[in-house]
Amino acid sequence: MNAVNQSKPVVVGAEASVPIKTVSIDKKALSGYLLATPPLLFLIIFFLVPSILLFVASFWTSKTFTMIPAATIANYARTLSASGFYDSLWISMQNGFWTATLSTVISAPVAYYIVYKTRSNAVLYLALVSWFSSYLVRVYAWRTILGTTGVINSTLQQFGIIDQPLEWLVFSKFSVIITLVHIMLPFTLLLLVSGLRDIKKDYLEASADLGGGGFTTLWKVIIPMAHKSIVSSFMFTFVLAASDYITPQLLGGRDAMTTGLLIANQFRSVGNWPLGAAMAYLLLAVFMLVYATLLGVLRAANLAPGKRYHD
Amino acid sequence: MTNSIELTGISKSYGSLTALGKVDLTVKRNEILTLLGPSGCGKTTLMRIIAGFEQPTTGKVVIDGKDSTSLAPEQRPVNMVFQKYALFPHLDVFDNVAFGLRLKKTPKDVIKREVIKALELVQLETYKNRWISELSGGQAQRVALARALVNRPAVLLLDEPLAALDLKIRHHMLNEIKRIHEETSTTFVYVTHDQDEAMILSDRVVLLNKGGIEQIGGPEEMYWSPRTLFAAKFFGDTNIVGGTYGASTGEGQIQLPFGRFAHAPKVALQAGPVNVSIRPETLSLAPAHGHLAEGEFLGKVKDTSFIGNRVIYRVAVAGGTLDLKCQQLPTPGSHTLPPGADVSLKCKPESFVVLPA
Ligand SMILES: Nc1ncnc2c1ncn2[C@@H]1O[C@H](COP(=O)(O)OP(=O)(O)OP(=O)(O)O)[C@@H](O)[C@H]1O
Ligand SMILES: [Mg+2]
Repeated sequence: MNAVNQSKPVVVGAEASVPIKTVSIDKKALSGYLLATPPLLFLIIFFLVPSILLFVASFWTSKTFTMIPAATIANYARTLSASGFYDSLWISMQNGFWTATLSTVISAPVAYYIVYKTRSNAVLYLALVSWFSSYLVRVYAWRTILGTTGVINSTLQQFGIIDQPLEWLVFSKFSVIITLVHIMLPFTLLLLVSGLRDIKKDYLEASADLGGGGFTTLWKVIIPMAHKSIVSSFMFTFVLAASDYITPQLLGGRDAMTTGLLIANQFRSVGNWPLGAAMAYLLLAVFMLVYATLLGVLRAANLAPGKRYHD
Repeated sequence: MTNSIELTGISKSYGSLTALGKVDLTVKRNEILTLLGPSGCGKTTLMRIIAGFEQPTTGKVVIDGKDSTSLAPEQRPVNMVFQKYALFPHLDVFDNVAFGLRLKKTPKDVIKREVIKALELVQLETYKNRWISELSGGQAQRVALARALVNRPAVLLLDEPLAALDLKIRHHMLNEIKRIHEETSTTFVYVTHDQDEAMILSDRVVLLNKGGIEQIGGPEEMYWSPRTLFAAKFFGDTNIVGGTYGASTGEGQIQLPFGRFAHAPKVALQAGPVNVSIRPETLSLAPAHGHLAEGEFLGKVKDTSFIGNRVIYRVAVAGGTLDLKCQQLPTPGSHTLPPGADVSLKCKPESFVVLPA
């Protein structure tokens, strides 16, 4: 805008008169803008500004807890050349992938049942109730259930099925993913339920009417139509689970060092904020890559809408 | 095989609610049969039982000579046009129409030929690449028809297919459906609660009421010879007048509040109280003149509505105890009589429909 105004001063007057006209004529548009202002402001203040600051900071340097403005890609280079980053990324991606896959796959039939098979919302509410307990309570609950002296191990020992407690139940990938799935399920369930609610039963009946059995209807109608909510359910869970560092710390054993923890450490104990910022942006880039891959896979598998199957 | 569908003893209950009770119905090959009735009478339920979306509580569904009672919808040789079309928004027009054929593993070139043919039938061949969101209501309706018809079903089911369209397009689509029926020679079962639609379209009308069949017949039969009071009132406008038949009044005589009329009943009729349905267009009306001829009686105009091709009078008769609706055909230069005018009315007793009260 500014550039235009400077190079063509004549336009300024004409442009200035336009907003006045618009405002006086289009009250509807104006109220629309006014309504959109609070959420926009919220996004700008709490998301956009910090993100930009963080991005800028990722090119700075640091000396124990103080940031020094600079313009260097050293933080990125350092992160990408350290094997620890890749190790943590591998753990994070596994956590993200398995949690997102399992919670989406587990939620899907439940959501289907809630939307098409029952008129009551009891199951939905039941799932949401688990949300009311705090995150940490749920983590510790799983620690108790899976621990070496926990419910499962002691029961198995009592029945003589095992002699020694199963160590891998707790402090392993297994326990981390079980706990994360439990934490994420209400989210995926809600997203999938609201996605399926948009697909009226008519569409499923139309498919059956045209000769589609259950599986055909699932692959050719439900999944393509629910594409958006499946992708958002998967990505939402993926991002939250992959960046989580509390559950892995409490239950991960050797697999505790996720990228999330690595980043958090830069901000908390190490005090190298620019390095942490660079890592955070690298993680963001990886998430975008995962997102693009997911979209590509669904498209390749013909599970995305907007494809023509004829010439 | 002359029947496309044979339903015997079909009933359907939802818990304590009986949506359908013991329905027997045959649909003949290539006819257009309409299921007509007020809201909640069970039209949709009956159609969904034919399509296989609902299991009847009792009874047998035979489609094309084959017992299909326990067949899933995808195994039945019927196709349905949904009220809200239910076209797949993630597919374009061509792929929507091709959906059924692809599931049957039809060869590609056959699919292409058949889909284009079906789109030509509904005059939308140039729309094959459109997305569903880019269609108007009437166009979506045609695509839905093509998507069903391309499978060459033994029976095409249509559940109030025009309900979502506005009046003008509705009339146009009605004629289109008639044309398409003639061109495809398929059996159509058409659900509607609009009697005009049913009359225009049908070979036979099935009038449903409270989960049962009230009467089945051709449009003219349904209009002129209703067998129940419900049927008489459902089709068009009519005057229902209470009276007495036979007995004290004499064989073949009907006593009405405004006179006694000779009537030869078409069906066996018990002497006693009756309801008589008198169509407004069977009454003729003239300014009152000196003496009353045979079959004439006096009345006073209460109000009039001039509708262009007809004038509707509401006339108080029998000393003001009864209002009759009377419909006249205006001609250029004829004058509508004003309210308050004394008139003489003449009825055609042979057109009376006399029903036991
Ligand atoms: N799934 C269901 N559960 C319970 N009752 C139902 C169900 N479907 C229909 N009914 C009831 O069965 C009766 C018949 O319904 P139906 O939908 O067949 O009526 P209709 O003739 O199609 O009416 P409309 O003209 O309003 O579409 C109604 O009383 C309705 O409330
Ligand atoms: Mg209905």
